[in-house]
Amino acid sequence: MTDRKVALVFGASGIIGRGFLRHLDGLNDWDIIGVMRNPPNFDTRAEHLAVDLTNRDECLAGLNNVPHVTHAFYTAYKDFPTWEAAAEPNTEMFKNTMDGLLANAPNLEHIQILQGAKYYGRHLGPYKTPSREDDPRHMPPSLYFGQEDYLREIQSGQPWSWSAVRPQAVCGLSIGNPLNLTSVLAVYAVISRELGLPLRWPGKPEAFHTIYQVTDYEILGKSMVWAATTPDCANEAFNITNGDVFRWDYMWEHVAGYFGMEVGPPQQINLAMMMADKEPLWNEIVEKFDLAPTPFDKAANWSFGDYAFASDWDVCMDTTKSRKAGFLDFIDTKDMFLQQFDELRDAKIIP
Amino acid sequence: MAEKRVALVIGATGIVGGNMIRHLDSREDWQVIGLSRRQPYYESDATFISVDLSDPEECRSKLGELAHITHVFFAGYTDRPTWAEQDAPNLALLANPMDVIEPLSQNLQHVCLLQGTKAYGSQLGPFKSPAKESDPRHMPPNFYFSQQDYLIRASEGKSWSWSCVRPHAVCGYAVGIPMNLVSCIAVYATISKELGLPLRFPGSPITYSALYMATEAGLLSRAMEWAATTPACADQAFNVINGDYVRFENMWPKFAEFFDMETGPLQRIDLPLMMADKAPLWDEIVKKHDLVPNAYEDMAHWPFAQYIFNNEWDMMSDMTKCRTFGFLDFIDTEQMFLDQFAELRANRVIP
Repeated sequence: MTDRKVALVFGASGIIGRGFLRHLDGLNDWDIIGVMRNPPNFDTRAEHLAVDLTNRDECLAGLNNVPHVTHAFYTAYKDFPTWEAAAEPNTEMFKNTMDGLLANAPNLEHIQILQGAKYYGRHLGPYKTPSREDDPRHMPPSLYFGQEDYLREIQSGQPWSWSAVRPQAVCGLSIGNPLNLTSVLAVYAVISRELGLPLRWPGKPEAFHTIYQVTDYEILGKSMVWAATTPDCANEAFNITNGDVFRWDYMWEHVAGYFGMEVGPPQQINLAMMMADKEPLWNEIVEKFDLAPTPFDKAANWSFGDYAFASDWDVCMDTTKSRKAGFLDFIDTKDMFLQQFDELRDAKIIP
Repeated sequence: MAEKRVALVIGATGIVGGNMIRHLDSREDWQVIGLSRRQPYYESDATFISVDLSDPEECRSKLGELAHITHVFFAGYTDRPTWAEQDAPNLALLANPMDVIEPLSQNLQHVCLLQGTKAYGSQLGPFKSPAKESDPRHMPPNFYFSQQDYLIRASEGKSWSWSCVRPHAVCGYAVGIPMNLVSCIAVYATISKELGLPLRFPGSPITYSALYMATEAGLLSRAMEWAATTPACADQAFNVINGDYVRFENMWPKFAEFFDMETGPLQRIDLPLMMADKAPLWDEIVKKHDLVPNAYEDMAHWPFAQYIFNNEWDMMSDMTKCRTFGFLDFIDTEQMFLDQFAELRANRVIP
């Protein structure tokens, strides 16, 4: 018999879930089920399963038609005003999901959770970098801790295994999902250019020079399949990044070069505030360059830009553990941004 | 069956040249000739020629038979007080032997030149990091530039190609080579412990928390062989580091643990000044612990350690180019230090 694998992807409409579906779409030994509230508005061969993960009864009942699942990938996230406030409800949501899954999936081989650099307290202030998987945790709460602890608890003595992957600022073309640095950079540049401005660094002045790092969604997708199917990865967490680190002051020249702009002196602005009135301008740009109409609020998430551009401390993870375990994929981050700008251009999202 | 390659390793008793020869010894398809002034401190199947490379006459008389060299690995170095003074003598170390061998060795295929992060001005002050091979040069003089330019000119219209490798703080097996971070730290720790002191970082507090990197000598040897024999690497420069970044502040407690010491608070000292009177103490330690007798001055070059512990900026080279060209080796730097301390202990060099 074949060793066909069946992936159940929770949170399939988020940037990571969607990028991952796209990755799985290209692997012909996988069948895919995507859990999301609405049917997908993008091309995928994934089966659609609507379950409200916040509803425990629905989880227990709704996951009973997935007995053939072999690998579960948990990328779901419910947003709250603060990361701390998100911890408890996201842990509960995860428990609902796991309890529903484990009651219904006898063929289960692996459960993977998606974490990130916030596991190491990247969002709190200066912290130990490059971070390693075995660094001690920060002061709770964190939904990552709650989910991981529950997973460790329920796995004990079970035949299936778990893994956690920890990317940093996942970048990838995901139309309609603006939580993505590539979109923020591209739309910010296009609007600046339209206004005759040079490309100014809008973040904290110090953050222009600190070390930063991102994860390409294709690298992430490959690593997720790798960690979920490699026996040595069982019950372990892995940092996953492009493999290089950079400073924005370096990257900025290449972003400006791509858009045919000058690099201006830095000018700190609150993007969420200053870009709030740019919708009419964006619509003009869309019309002028005959672009595929993308609503402004789906083009870029400015709060995410404000967050990403504000780290006046180094943000980076060590990827030695995943290399030792055999994952050697990498991409030059500058090339990644330029390729993804090309993709945005080809899709007529930006001029 | 491939034709036997004939390597000429210039600077055979340095940490890089010595490890290169030991590496090539372990490979079946290489015949090796080493050049140096001193006798090698290691066992080897190589042929050694003792020659003063700074003397063109001596190069002519002693190297005039070398008509069968296929690959040159240049790892020679002569110290001078300033960069301006280093330029001509270090160029001569390369040009003198090359001017003799190149016209004679009709099968010459490649010359691999050892450089370092100083090619990016890492010694001058804060520099653009992570450094990429495509970064513009700093203001000359820099003997790396002169040597590389010599190879560019000399190879013009010829059938041989060149490459440059740029490691940082090469760490590995060596005897009587005190410019070695591993043995500097090991001796500093051993002496501190003997005096009942905790293991204090003796450099700048800024350096303690800055990003740093290193290159394990075996990895560098593999990279040099790879660069010299991979057609795509012709006429290219490559950063060659372990592939991760570290901070002394993260490693220091692990070092202290290795030496069974407490980590002390920082205490910046002038190492050349403060360690100058410790030779008698070292000799006592050697006797007390029945160590292999190594002269104090052969164990640690304190100006070198002083330099490394007081560069108050991030030391980072980018490895993407190497990886893109196919060299995917990596080493866990923290583990490398611990392994090499253990090796020193096993060889009874330190207690």
